Amino acid sequence: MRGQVRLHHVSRRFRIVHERSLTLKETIVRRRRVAYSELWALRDVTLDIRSGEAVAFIGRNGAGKSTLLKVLAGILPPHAGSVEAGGSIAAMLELGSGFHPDFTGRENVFMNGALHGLRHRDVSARLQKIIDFAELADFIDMPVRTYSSGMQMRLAFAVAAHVNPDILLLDEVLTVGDAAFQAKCMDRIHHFLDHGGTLAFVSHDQNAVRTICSRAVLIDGGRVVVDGSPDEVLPIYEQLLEDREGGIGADVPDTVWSPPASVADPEYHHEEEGGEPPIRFTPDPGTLPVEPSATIKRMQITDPPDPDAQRRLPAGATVVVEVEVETNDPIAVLSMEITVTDSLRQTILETHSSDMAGALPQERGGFTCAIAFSLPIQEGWLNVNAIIRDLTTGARLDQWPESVPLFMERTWPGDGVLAVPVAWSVLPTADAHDNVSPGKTVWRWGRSA
Amino acid sequence: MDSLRPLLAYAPLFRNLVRREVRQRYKASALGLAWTLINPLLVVAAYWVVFKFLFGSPIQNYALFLFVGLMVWTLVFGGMSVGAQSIISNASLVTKVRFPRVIIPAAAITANAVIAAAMLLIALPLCIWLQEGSYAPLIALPALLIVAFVFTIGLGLVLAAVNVYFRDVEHIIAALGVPWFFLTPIFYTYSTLPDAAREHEVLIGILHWGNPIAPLVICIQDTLFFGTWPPLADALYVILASIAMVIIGWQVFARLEREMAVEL
Repeated sequence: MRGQVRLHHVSRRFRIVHERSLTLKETIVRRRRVAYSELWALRDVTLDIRSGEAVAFIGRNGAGKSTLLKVLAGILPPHAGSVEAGGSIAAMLELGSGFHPDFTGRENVFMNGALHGLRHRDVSARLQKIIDFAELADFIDMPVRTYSSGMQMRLAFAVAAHVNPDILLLDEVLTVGDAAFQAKCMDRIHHFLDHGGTLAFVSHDQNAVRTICSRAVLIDGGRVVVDGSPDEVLPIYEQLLEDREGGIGADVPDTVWSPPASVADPEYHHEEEGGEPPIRFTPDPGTLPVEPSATIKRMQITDPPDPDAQRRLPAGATVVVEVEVETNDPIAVLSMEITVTDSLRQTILETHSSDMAGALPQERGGFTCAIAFSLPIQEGWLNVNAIIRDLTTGARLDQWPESVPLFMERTWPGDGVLAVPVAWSVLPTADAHDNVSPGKTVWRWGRSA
Repeated sequence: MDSLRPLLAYAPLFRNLVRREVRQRYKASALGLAWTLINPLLVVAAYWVVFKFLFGSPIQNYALFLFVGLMVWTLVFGGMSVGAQSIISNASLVTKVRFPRVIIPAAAITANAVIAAAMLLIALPLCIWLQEGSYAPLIALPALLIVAFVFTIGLGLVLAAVNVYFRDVEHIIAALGVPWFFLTPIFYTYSTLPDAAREHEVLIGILHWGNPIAPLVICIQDTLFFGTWPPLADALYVILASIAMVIIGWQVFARLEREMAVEL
């Protein structure tokens, strides 16, 4: 069926040659003595992606996400198992996507279109849309080598998004480009999904995963660890990131592991049943204490009140976060910490109750903090997190498992990162010399001057 | 050949790649495509001086004879060289997009054949004008050119695929270029060799039949330049060699194609 992808017990191996010998002579002379070890980048992966579904592959670096996309794209063949993909596939893997540096943007668009199986007139019909989308009208007839990496990325995405594939594969694409272009990519992806396209993408951007995908697949050690809704899978991924040592999937060393005997033959014929369900992973309590002296019971954004509106805010909006804490130990001195991070996981706001509100109540029972802050950020995804700490030891007692995502919408008329009150005054030169008081305010933005 | 049918869907890609290869070769050079002819004309001029005047070759219209041989050499050996490098120089496509890889060497070799075609365009009217034989054998010329092209595709596929895994291949080809050129009857024919050479019949036999480009050059020189029917043995040899080569090339390429993206 068009747009459907099935991976059936797929395994993929890489050989890591310890002494790289590329020349004919060395290979002939040494024959089989070239030392290599095997790495199973994908281990018995069974996945069924329905037509029109949006699936995110998440996982740590080296987990096998990109290999999985390359296998889906048909660029790498599996060493065991089978891959079936219905319909046309457009893949955007890594930067550049096969642009030739000496040719102009326009020539490369035609080349790229042809790579995706489009005829010349199909590309011609879409050329203007692609150029407009990439915002490269002035540069389209210049060689691609003169483009910045952001411009190349924009062009590559524009082509991939306009070839109307049945299946679109994206690898870490959304982290490139400025906020405005990212928002445009998001729109385009939503448009693609609304028209029934199937999307599989690799991303570290948890907010992108939440907003785009209905399904997230956590890969570790080449295996599917959890397969479920983003809200279900992302917290487990977070846990995995913190618990850096070891992995969940890589429990068997590569030297020992081999694909199941029944599917070791790549020419394996597909059966109708869906294969075994993925291994379920129970979240490890990890670094959090088992019986903390305080736990966070609730965290929500109370202003703006509408739960839908919480995810989209105008630039500069004020947000009120309420955190309810239950205390179990009247001796513990507590401190609440609110952080706001952007899509690159940079902290853009960190505030502690100990600095701002003094000591928190210690009585058994609990308390609720309401924290109000404005976010003078122009555009992009933000995450709000709440942590409760023991102030004397600094130990983290509890953390709200899901950070609350917010999307700042561009309402500010200027450019840059900050959306702060700005006042412009314009005076005739003669008046400015005589008159110190500001003249006519041409444009004013913000609540307070 | 069922496996050929899906290739038709990629005809636009093939056209694009051929155009790109042709344009890329002379991009940003002042004389552009004129270089395709300046190169062989310079070679012809030098060899003409050396072998016509210093060694006294008995062949009439010697410069044109050289030019015809050089055209075949450009088609076959030039095609082999660009074919061998083609996958590596298009690595960014191979590692990022799925499409039949065979298109890349095929397009590179076709782009190279365009240069040979430009040479033919000059050689053909001059041959018709100057040759003293018959025009009838010219009927065989298109078939012979196709045979030469098919042979080049076959060989180019093998070299392109193997070069991905052993990068020495393209250097070996470069090193073989000059000696191979001298051992191919391009600036001489076996029948106009000095008397002293005729004693080494076995050696000439090895040179003639051990080098598949030699019978190709002979067949095309005969039909185009001398206006005679090519020897049957040579014609059969080149037809069988090109069929065998393209089958071998297809098989080798199909086998090595799968893991190419890993090696690049």
